Amino acid sequence: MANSRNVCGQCKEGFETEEQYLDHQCSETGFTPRDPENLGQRFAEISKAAIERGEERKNEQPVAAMAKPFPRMRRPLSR
Amino acid sequence: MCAATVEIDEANGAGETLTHNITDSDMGNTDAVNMDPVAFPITPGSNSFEKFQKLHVTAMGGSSKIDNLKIWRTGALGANASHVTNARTASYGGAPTYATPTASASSLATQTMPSSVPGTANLGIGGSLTGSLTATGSSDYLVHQIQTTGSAVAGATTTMNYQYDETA
Repeated sequence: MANSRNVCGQCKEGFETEEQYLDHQCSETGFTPRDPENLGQRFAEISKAAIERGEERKNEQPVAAMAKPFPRMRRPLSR
Repeated sequence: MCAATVEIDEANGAGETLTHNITDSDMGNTDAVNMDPVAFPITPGSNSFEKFQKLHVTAMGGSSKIDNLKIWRTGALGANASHVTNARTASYGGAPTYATPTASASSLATQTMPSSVPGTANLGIGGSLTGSLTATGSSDYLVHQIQTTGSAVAGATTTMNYQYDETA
């Protein structure tokens, strides 16, 4: 495609803007570039595993101690 | 929640045509993406054409930040060949400006490509090793090149590694 500055490396379709590239549904992968599946099943599996490891680490971290409430200040009553 | 979607892009030609989601990083005697190194071998004593590549976040997937980019190669090169890059963990030269890739000795790729994971970030975002992406966008260009002597032998296959931190 003339003047195509952005090319999909999978289906070889050309686009004038990056946004057009990101919005297209690739005829080779069946997904848009925004979908992790566009990078192959392996990437999607690695991503899912990474998310799960992150969730496990988050659950292992100790809960921060609750902050003590500020002591109440007593204001002298005006007379 | 799903993870961010990150692809590798490569720019070629005088017009900086950007090919997204490349299938390989083979290097040889032509400026082309996803090239066949058998069809375009590097002549011993010459260099490969430079590669200008970048990490491109196409979707954050609910994550808040991508940073701490680390690039390295695993696998030994053939004898009398070296792999050079602009990636470095200190005295980072900022985001390189794209130029038509050349097979002359690269003026941008002047560091040795690490052969193991770097201890800290070695490729910047927005010109800085401490830069980050919080929305779709790209890293600085990674520039790299294979340089050979007249005694170089053919046939090395290695793996490029691209690592980043992703914060939920």
